Amino acid sequence: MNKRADSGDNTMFFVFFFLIIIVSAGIVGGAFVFYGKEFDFKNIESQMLFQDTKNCLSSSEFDFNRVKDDPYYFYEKCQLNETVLGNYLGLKVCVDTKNFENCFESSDAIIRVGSNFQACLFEGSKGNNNFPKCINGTFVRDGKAYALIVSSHHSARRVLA
Amino acid sequence: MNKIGESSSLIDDNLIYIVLIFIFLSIMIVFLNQQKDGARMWQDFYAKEIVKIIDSSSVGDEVTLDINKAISIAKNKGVVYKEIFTFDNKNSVCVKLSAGQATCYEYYKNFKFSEPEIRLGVPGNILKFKILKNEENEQKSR
Repeated sequence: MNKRADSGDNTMFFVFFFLIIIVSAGIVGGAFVFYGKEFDFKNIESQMLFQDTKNCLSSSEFDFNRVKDDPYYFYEKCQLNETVLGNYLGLKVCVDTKNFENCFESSDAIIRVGSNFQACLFEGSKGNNNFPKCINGTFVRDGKAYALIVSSHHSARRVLA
Repeated sequence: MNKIGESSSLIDDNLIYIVLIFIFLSIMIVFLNQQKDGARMWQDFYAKEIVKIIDSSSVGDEVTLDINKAISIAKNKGVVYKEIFTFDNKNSVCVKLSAGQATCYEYYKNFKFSEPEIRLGVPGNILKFKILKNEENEQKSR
């Protein structure tokens, strides 16, 4: 047996494997460069939810007193789906907040769906699509100031079909 | 010289390389087939655009959407037109433009839909559906 020749053959296996990795990275990279990144919808979605929720809560038909007694009242009145909001989006409403930034930390929100609202404050999250996209603002109703924070960490799902 | 013996030993020696090349080619063919015509990108685009329209609609609205691009990709990929758009009434819209995989996205509004209808050449190809009230979730709160 020629052991030296055998070891040369074994070394060639790594070269072959390395070439396969390089070629596949080239093909996959080329496809991604050609088609670009996934169409990011989080920002638009949180803007739309912010506007819908703001319009609903500002309306005189919405009764804030019923929110604590009936957990479904908010979803029913604003025509929102509890499961989707809880799983993919986040929403927080605080009352008497002069500055909406206090609402990020506040634990006594009137309405709270989802969690991790602090991630909205991270500086690094602004240019990074992996972080939730947030919209926040205030509105006044019956002389009271309300802060509203909406976040979206929703991504498309790929399923076998 | 035993030439038959030599050639069979040559195949035996390189069997691992042949298997690896076969696996590599199969993966690449599947991947490139999914990327062909931008099916994956258009699936993502249509799912999100439909969700955007739904979330900005009201009960009773009738939606008509131009789906020319989706139809031409589905035709090339051999996808049955009926399977392209699926509204499961569990707040999810799925779009399938290549065999074996679909892209799904969820809408936050509490709506139901009429059966989506694809009309070809009216002129152009369109998708039509009507937004209905979701009574089931409303009963939950009573």
